Amino acid sequence: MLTFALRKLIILLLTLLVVSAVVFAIVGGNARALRTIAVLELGPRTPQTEQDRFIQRTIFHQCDPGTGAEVVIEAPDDPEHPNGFYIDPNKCRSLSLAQRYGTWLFGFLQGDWGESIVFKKHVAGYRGVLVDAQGNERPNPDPWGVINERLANTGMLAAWVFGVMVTLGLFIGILAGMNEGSIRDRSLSVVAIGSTSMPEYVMGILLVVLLAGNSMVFSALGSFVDFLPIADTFLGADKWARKSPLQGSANLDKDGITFANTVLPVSAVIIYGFGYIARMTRASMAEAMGSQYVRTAVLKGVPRHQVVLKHALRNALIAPFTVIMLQFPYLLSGLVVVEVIFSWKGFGFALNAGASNMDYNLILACSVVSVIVVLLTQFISDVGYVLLNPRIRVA
Amino acid sequence: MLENLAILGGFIASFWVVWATLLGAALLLSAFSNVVSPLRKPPYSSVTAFALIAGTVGMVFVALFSSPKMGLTTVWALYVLWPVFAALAGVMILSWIFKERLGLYGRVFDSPIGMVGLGICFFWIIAALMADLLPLYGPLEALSKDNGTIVQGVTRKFKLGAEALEGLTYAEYVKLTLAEASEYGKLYKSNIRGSAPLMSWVGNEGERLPAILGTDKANRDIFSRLIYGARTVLPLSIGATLVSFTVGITLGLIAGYRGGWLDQIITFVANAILAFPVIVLFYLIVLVGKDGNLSRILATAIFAFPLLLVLAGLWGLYSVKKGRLIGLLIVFLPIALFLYFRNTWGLPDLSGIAAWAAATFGGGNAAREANIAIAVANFAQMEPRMLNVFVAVAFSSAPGAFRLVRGLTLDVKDRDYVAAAQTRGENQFYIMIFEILPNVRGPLMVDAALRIGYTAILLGTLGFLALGLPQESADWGSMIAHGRGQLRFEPQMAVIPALCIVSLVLGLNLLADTLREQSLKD
Repeated sequence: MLTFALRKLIILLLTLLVVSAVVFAIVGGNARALRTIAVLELGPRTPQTEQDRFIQRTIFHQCDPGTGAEVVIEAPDDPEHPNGFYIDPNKCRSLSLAQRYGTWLFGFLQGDWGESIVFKKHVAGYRGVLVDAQGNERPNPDPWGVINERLANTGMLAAWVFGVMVTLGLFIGILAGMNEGSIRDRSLSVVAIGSTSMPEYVMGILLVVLLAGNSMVFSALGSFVDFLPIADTFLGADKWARKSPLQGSANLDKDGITFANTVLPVSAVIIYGFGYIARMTRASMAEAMGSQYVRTAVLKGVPRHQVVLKHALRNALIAPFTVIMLQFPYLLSGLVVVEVIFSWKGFGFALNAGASNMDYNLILACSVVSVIVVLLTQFISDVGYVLLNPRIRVA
Repeated sequence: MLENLAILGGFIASFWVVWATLLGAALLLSAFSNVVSPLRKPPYSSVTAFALIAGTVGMVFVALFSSPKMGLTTVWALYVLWPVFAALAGVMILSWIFKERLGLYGRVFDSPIGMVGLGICFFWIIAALMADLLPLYGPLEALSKDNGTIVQGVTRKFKLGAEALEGLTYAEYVKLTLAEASEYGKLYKSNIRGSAPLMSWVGNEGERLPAILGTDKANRDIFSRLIYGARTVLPLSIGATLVSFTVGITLGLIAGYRGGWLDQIITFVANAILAFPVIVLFYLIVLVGKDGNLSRILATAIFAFPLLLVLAGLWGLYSVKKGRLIGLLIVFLPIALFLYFRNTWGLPDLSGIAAWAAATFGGGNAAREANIAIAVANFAQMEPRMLNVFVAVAFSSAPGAFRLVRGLTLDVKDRDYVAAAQTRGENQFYIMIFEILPNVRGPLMVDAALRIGYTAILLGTLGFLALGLPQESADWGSMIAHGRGQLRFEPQMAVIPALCIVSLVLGLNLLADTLREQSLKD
């Protein structure tokens, strides 16, 4: 078991290395896009040498000490430089893609993920000492980076989505799979198929139209209240019936994460996701209910709820476990879309902003972080499957 | 005739409470009463369940959106689209009659749910094919300002409802709006640029329908764009799925059949691609890579697989009859290589020929010359932004297809017929393509139907995030993105394209479900 986990872990690290190199080559090898950023930041009339220096210094961090790009000038008799040499602050050599990747990876592993151009601060919270091109220490203005707080927000969203979606999917799948072919099974299957054909952006828009702010359902409710003067007077219905408590766009900086701004994005992702889990659980449950050991239990006279809970359910839940863990990439994609719709300032929102503005370090960091999350869930799924399923023994 | 229909439609829609109550009562009775217990058991249970759910959802929608306008819009849409519905009915009835002889496709007609799914898919396919024959506006045709205001006026009057039209009966109201619409049609006719539609069913020759769903921010007719949207979404999603399947089939067969280090390498690469959330992949390919050659490089890799699959198939069939093989290759290779290089690197460059053709056949007319030049220069070539999207979607769904084919191949390769072929001394490509592949076609077809739907969703996501596809393109995702700013005031601008995506994907999902059930019956 331990060797199995270790092997999986090594493959994971290898994948991560390859994937990060490819992403680095895609993002950093796009010379024209980098030139565009330089022009945007410096203005259109800057000479090309200055643009090059901006790309090297600010985007690639090539001129930082220790990257191997610094231009060392020997000055044996200069009293200002007792070491006998100094680093020219205005020059640095350009590095090849592989060298740059090495430097980036080294910084990345140390927690130095570079600075974001869009958000004007560090991509990750960097607590270490900042050193400028001359080798002097400078104060760290913002120990909290872009990704840290964003990931915390998205983590909250993902936790709610995951908890509710898995519970709902398993519950519906088990109910449907308990007796295959019944009207309950068919209804729930139709619901599940409907769920898998409602992508997040569709559901997000429908929810905003129907439920957010003074939207359709609530304005209909309001006009219904108009017909009921008594409700108006006694229940204060004109207060609650006209405006929805739910918000269609979140202002996390002001309100933080509240019920009002979380419900709609969470439901949009859940409605797309639970159907797939339910269908997988249903298939697995139906198979378990048709198996020999369930038939034996029924014939032995075990009560039905015990057959379902003790015999069928345990075996039926092994397959959905893998499915659920493998849903994570789709969950992350869904979260990006939903964050864009509801302007939820999370990881996906940052990725969208970064990619639209060619924010070099932010795109790199977001891609690698999402790949790490996915690979970790795959690892958990692989190891957990072996742990859960006693029929599989691996060395 | 049209007036009466519209009045009837609006009448039904405005009495939704009665209608919905009756429908709901009937459905609940059929589902939970013992009087009609056969409806609760297979094979009828699926029909009942579908009616129950669809009825409930329909009730909610009718309850929220019902208005005289809805009735009018529905009737108008049905009226304009009647050729589509007629063709749909024709296809469905013919298939129903000959279903015994049509194999797996025919057996879809044994299941009502499958028929619903197939009907929805056929509707969109036929609508996409017939879009030019319908009295619609062009997808990019902005209605002129004067006409636009009239149309907006019609919509606004619908919206204002009671206040603007106080004192009018509903029939008078419908007549008024229809009169306005036909006035609008005449105005439009006087302003027609370009070609009139080939056939016209509404009003007189050359007249087209008013903008029944209103116009968008650029004053283009939303309803026409919806129908034309199928022309962008369907070919892209079907094409990308097919290409990703050829990639998956080629690599999956090799990895599954040969095994060993080849299998390990391909599986590693597939897993590495699958480790990206799709959207991150899209951002990288479409947004970050758009200035570089990334999509061309990916296209070079992806489009090679259809070519390789056909070559391997030909080799498998004719490896002993070299003469016939060479004959076929002489016919096949030039065309295939031409298409391949045109769509990857734009080679050979046809701009010289285009200039020559424009000068020769243009006849001195500048507009015509430009048209000819563009048509020749873009011959057999995908538009670059379209290529970006196509490649991104195909690339992201290829590893899934690969894993499926590999698993199925591993399952099948130890069967007796494979062993028999091996003993006969058949070529390994023959065994892979003509022994293994036909025997795993059931699950592949089911997965293809599902994947086309998923690809349509991905295309919608790309359009929605304004990635890749041209901003003005008529695909449903871009339309949602376009209408999202007006959500509070004109919800139909975003909601109806969204429902189009849902309907297409729902149809494909229902179809896939039925295909799975029917193929399991064997």
